[in-house]
Amino acid sequence: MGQSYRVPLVGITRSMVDRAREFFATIRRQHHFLAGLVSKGRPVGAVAGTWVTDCAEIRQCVMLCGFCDHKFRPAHKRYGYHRDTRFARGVSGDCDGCRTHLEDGGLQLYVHEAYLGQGYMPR
Amino acid sequence: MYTHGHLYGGAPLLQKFQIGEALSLAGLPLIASALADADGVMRASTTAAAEALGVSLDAQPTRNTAQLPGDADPAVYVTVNVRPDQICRARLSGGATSGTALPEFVNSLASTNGLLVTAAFGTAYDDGYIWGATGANAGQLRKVQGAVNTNATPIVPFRSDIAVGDIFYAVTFGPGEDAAVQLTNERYEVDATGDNQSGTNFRCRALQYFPKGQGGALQSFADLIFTDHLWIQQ
Repeated sequence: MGQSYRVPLVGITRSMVDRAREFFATIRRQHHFLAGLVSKGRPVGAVAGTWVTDCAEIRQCVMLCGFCDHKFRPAHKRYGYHRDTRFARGVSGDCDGCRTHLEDGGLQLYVHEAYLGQGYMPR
Repeated sequence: MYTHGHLYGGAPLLQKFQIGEALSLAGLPLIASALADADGVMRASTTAAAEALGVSLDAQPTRNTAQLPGDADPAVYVTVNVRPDQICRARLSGGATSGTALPEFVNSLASTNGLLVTAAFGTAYDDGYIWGATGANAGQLRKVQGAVNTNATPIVPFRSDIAVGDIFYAVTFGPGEDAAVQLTNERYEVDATGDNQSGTNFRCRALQYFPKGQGGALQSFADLIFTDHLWIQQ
C-alpha cells in the first residue's frame, strides 16, 4: 500500500519524448499568448445592462444566457440587433450579462444587423 | 464566409479576441499573429491561413494604439467562432474581387461521349471541378482530369451529349481534393479562378453548385474546413 510502481516505457525513444515535450510546450506557449488576448467580458462591479449596451454601441456580438436573455430580447431591435437562430442549441461561451460560461450551447446570440450582408452571412 | 455548421455537431464556441489590425468587415477568416511582433488576431491572406483561429462574426474598423479618455479600455475585440471543426461556407466568386460572377465557358464543339468540353479553360482548372450551367447536363458536377487552354476533360463523362453552346461553370478545387482555395481580396469569398492547389489554408468539404437558371453564377458556395487551425497542432 502506498507504493508507486514505475512502468517500463518499452519502445519509447528519447526523440519521441523530446518531440512530445516540444509539442506541449508549443501548445502552452500559444495558450498563454492567446489567453491575454481574450476579452475578460464584463468587469467585476460593472452593471450588466450597461455592459451590454456598451457592446451594442460598438456593434459587438452579444451572447446571453437564459437568465439574462429575457432582459435584452424585447429591446434588441431597438439597438439594431438580429436574433441569430441558425444554431438550434445556441452558442457556447461567456454570457455578457452574468459572465457564466456555458458549454454545448445555451447562449442566445445577437448579431448587429449591419453585419448580416457582409461575408454573405445569412439572416 | 460564415459558419454553416460543424463536423462533429454541437454549438459554436464564441470568444472575443483582441484585434491586431483594423477589421472593417465581418465574416473573415482570422489567424493568430506571429508570436514575436504582434498582439492580436489578423486576417488570413488570400492564399494561406497558418495558425487559423476561426471566422469572425462582427467587425471593428478602428484599432486603438493610444490611451483613451476616461480610463477606457483601448483594446478592441471581435467575436470569433474558434471551433477547429467548423464548416465555413463561402460564396464562389469569379475573380479576385468579391461579388464577381463565375465565368461562363461556352462549349464550341459537340461531344458525343460527354468527355470533352471545348472552351477557353486555363491550366488552373486541371484537377478542378466543372458543372453544367445550361443544356442537357445542367446541374451535373464532374471532376476535371485535364484542362488546357482549349478544353477540359472530365474523368467520368457527363450523362448526356455536350452540345454546341452549352455553358459550364468551373472551379479550381473541389470536395475530397488535397487542394487549397484562394480567397478574394476582401477575404470573405473564394476566388473560383485562383489556382492555390498546393496551399494549406482550407480544404473543400462540399460544393453547393447551381445551374445558370438558378443563379449559379452568383449563388454557388463552397463549404470549407480549416487545414491548419491553432488548436490542432500540425
